[in-house]
Amino acid sequence: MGSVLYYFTFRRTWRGALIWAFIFGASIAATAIGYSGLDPGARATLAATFSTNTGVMVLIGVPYHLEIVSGFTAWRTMGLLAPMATIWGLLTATRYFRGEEESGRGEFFLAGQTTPRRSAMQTLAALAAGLGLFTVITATGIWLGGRGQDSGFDLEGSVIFAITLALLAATFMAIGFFTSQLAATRRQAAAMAGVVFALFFAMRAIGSVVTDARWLLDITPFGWAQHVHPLTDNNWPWLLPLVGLTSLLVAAGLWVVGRRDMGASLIADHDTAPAHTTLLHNVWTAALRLNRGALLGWTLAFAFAGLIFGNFAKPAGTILNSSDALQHITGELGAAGTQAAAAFMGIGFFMCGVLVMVMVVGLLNALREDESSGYLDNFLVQPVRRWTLFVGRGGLVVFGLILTALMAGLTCVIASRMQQTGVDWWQIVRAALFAAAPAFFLLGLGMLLLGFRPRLMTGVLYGYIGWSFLMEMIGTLLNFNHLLLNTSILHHMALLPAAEPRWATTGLMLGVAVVMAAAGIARLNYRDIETD
Amino acid sequence: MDIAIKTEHLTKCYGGVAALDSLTLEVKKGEVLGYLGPNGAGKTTTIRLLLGLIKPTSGRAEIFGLDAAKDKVAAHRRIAYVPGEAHFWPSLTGEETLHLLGNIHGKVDQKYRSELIKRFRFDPNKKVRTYSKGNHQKIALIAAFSARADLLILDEPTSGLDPIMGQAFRECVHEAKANGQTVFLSSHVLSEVEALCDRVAILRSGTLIELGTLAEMRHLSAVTIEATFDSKPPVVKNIKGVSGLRIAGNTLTAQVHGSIAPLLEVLTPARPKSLLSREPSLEELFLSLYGEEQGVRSE
Repeated sequence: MGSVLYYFTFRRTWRGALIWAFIFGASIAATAIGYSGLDPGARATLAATFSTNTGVMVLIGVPYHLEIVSGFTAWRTMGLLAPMATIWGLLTATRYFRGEEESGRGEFFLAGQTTPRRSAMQTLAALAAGLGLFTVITATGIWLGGRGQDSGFDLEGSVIFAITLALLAATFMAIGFFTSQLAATRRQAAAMAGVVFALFFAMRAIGSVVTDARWLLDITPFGWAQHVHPLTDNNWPWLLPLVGLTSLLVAAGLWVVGRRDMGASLIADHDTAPAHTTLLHNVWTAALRLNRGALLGWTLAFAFAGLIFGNFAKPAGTILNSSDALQHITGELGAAGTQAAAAFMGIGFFMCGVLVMVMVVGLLNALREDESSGYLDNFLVQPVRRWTLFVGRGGLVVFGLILTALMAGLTCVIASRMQQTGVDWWQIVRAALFAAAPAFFLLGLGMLLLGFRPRLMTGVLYGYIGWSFLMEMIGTLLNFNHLLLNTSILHHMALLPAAEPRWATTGLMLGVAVVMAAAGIARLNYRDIETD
Repeated sequence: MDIAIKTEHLTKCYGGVAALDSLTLEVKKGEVLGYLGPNGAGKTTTIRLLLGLIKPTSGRAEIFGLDAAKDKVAAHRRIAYVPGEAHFWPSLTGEETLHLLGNIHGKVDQKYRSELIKRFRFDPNKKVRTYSKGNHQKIALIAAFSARADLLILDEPTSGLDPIMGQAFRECVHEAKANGQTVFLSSHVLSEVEALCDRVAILRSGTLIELGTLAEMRHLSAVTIEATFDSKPPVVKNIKGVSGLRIAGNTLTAQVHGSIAPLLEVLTPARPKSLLSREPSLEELFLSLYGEEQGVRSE
């Protein structure tokens, strides 16, 4: 079978690796650019504030070298990006191993001239190649982002930083690979790997704040990555435990994969379950039941995000107050003369606005996949009005939007109260709800595309999010023509709670969304159902 | 209204290619119609048109007098459908899936459903993701038959079922027919169609080429004659209606279209030891029609 499976897996992986590398590289570069605008006094204040903030240390880790751009950038972005890299790693691995086996696709390959072990090795090699690509692009992004600033990013530091993130992802890919041998389903394998993630993360968090428990940092992958201190100290020997653990898990996984039967698992699956029929009464409640996992996941993610923004608001606000440069930037974004903590929350909710758009595309994509894979036929051959079905699914997305926005707002309120930022709770909740407005627009656009061009929907929506984000990040800095900037849906967001709500713009956005959704549903009501 | 399904010049084109070309067909209430055709003939397209999942390029389809494209909801109240490859939600159990499908359809004979669960030896407590293809099919069959719908539209319903379950399925169709329900059965299992159907429609390249009872079709088709003699068989060339002549030893085999009298006039004087006359099976009918198509294509 040669290396068919290697190329096949790489073909499915490289785009994801490229996108994550772009996001990571851009985030690190943007942090460096933003921090380099601070004067030495502001940096000293920031270092003093963060060094004593328990909440910040729990979320990001022990601060170091915060007075220099490279130190602050590495500490902050490593703390925030490491969990993302690891979750990507474990989800990718469980999808390519247990997921392929569960769906039965793995059998097609194993029916060829290969063995389970060789097949797994080819998949692992393809994932490693994807991580190689990720490393190169991320390192380039870090290095380019650090050029021209007083950042002091050298090539060696940039490469070590990218390798650290890639190795963290690799470690959790190995964990996902190993749990795929233990569990009978992809979901169980991902859940097991998730527990390991939570355990390692908790060890890092406790080790960061409890001096007597600092040794915990030495036995968790998050701690090892933190010890590397890329861009400053470049303690690359701390990469060796990551390599060692990854190798060990891969070897153990390969040992098991060569001995167990196809489809079998070391831990028996619970195939049976008592029937829970509470939500299985109509197409609307059934949609809620069938998508509750995704909704719960997003809600928790936004609750966590709200907690972060609330926690960071006060120390970040202190920096904003002491920096003329940052006050100028927030002023440009429409938050001049407001509480600095509120301005920081505004930026946080702007990021939430982008993420909630991704959630909308995910839920709409699930609807499209239900159609293409034939699940929707089960409803459409019943005495159910099509528009009722699609309105219900659209309503579910609206419910998800409001729920996640509220959760982000409420957790931000709680953290804000604990940090005594002084920002009114209603202003925060309102900011969270307004941040969801662009996502409503995207939902309308998605329903329109689902009606008229269903196969293009997901690509167009992701493309539009990317375009809007780029316009906002690059277009504003480079003073692009306002007509071009206006094509970005994010350009019409106000940085609440620091700025005043743009009622008219938001109303127009929602109105256009409703019209587009109505047109899409009208078309869905009578167009052909397109299955693959 | 004695007509369950009525199509008039029903046509569906994809990018200028006709998947179904001017289908005109009537299925009477209480009838079991077998719908046959090779892969890609347009069977599933017909079913998706009847269910209103796709709209016709031209022509129309009616279900109990209701427009299949415009009055979908009213039509669906009287339909139960079994797809050839059922896709159900992996996270639900079999019981939950049956409960959901029953609730949405709004009509379930609970007692009959319990009986069907036993008859199909189906374990409803398992998660759908753990079921085999045959068990997925059982869910669809149990949901459809227990709805006691006026019209059952079955698209290759026994794919993945073992022969014992195939027998259980036949019982269900017989019961449905006895109950006055109409069955539209698309299938590749010709013995099943032969055993169950009142009439058979054969589709080829989107066009209906045969429609009638098996007896009518057999009448139109060749009869196989096999005669064995003590010595070399007589010469039977140039006899009207005789084709496919084969001689193996002292045995002569031939297909005869129309009356067999001219052939018997030649064979009888030679005093055959045995003489067998056999009508074609549905499989032979189907293969002869499909064979013609292959011949046309190869030309």
